[in-house]
Amino acid sequence: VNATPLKDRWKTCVLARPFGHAPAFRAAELEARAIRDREQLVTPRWSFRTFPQRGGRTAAYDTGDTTIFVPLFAGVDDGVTELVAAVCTIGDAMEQRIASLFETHEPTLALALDRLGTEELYRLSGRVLRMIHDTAHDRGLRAGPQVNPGDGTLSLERQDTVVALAGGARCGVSITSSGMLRPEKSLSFLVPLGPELEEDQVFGRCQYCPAREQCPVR
Amino acid sequence: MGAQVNQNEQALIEAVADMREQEALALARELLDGGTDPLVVLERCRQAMDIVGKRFESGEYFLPELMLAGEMLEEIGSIVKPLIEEREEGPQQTLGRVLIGTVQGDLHDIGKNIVTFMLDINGFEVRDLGVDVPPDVFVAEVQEFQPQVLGLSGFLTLAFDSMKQTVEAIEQQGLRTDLKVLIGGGQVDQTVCNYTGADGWGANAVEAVSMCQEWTQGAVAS
Repeated sequence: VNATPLKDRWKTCVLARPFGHAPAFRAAELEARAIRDREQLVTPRWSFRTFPQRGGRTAAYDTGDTTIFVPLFAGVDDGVTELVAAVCTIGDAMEQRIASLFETHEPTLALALDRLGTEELYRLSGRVLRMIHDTAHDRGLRAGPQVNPGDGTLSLERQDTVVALAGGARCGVSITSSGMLRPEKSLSFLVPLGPELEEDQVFGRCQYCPAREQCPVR
Repeated sequence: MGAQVNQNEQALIEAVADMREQEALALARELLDGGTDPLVVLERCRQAMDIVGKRFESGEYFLPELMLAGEMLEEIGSIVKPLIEEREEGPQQTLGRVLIGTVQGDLHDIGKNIVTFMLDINGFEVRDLGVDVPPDVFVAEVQEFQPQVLGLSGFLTLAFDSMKQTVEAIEQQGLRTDLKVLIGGGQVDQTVCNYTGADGWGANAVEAVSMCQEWTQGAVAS
């Protein structure tokens, strides 16, 4: 069974559309923000590590213990000299609160909080990507397009490798046998580096999203 | 009951369908205080939910509207149902029993929770088993709860194998005869439905509720 094509993935993104225009939705959004702050539901943590490319002109990256193959990088492979593996999370308090709201039959507030959690996670991943770019610039390198496990270009089965390379355990991110990250509001990704790479100016994992110009996270 | 809709009843339908929560609750109370049959009030809310469902399917509304309308229906229902039970001297019959859970290996629960809520407010008795549910737990719960519908949820493509294994486990125990299996999740389609051996699939909560209603017609649970 084929996964959703990348160009259509934005349709499943809760952030690509307005939460709602009725006063009740605005109230739910405000309440969600109040809950987030009052109960301190966001604990941002991240980790990233850089590995040199070995083996010349290939999209395979020898990290010492393992070799990771990244198809998307094949097209820009000539210029890639290093690979960054990154992971970030907002913690599990948000998802637990969302589950409790469904249990008490408050789904509108649960959805508003879930949307807020996704926003927080995407903002965090954007900040981590900026750090990666800044670190690369300091060393005279440029960063290519970010790749997420499960996004079509990199198999979800490689999630465990990416998380391990990034040092997921250091920020409390683990992986299930089916490749899901825990806490659920976590992301892992790879970024190629090289002195001549064409930089992606859109930070975060939404660079292919047709709705990115209107996205509240940007 | 559905033919003659007076002005206040029409206002209730429009308030619910247009997401005017406070107005809808006030109108419902006003109708009941004025002597309107509680069953009529409930019916008008269900008519409004039909409108919301159509707007959802057409893309005019999204999940938040569906959930808010559900909350309005639930809140009005909490006022109306005791009045109906008082009159009928007992609790209302449910439309049927639905057992639901996210299959083994998958932890996604938002979609499942939404479907659970929508089934609940539409009159089904729902037992939610949570996430990462192994096939043998589904089997044991089917034996104990005896649902008319088993809902298997999963977002990951890897969940499709778990759905298939769960359906096979149910069949092996001879529990499939009077049981319909419904699957759902972000990437589920007819191909996945065929692969897993399910009876049907729903792209969203509205479709899931419609399918359960269709399957349980004539098989009302007490």
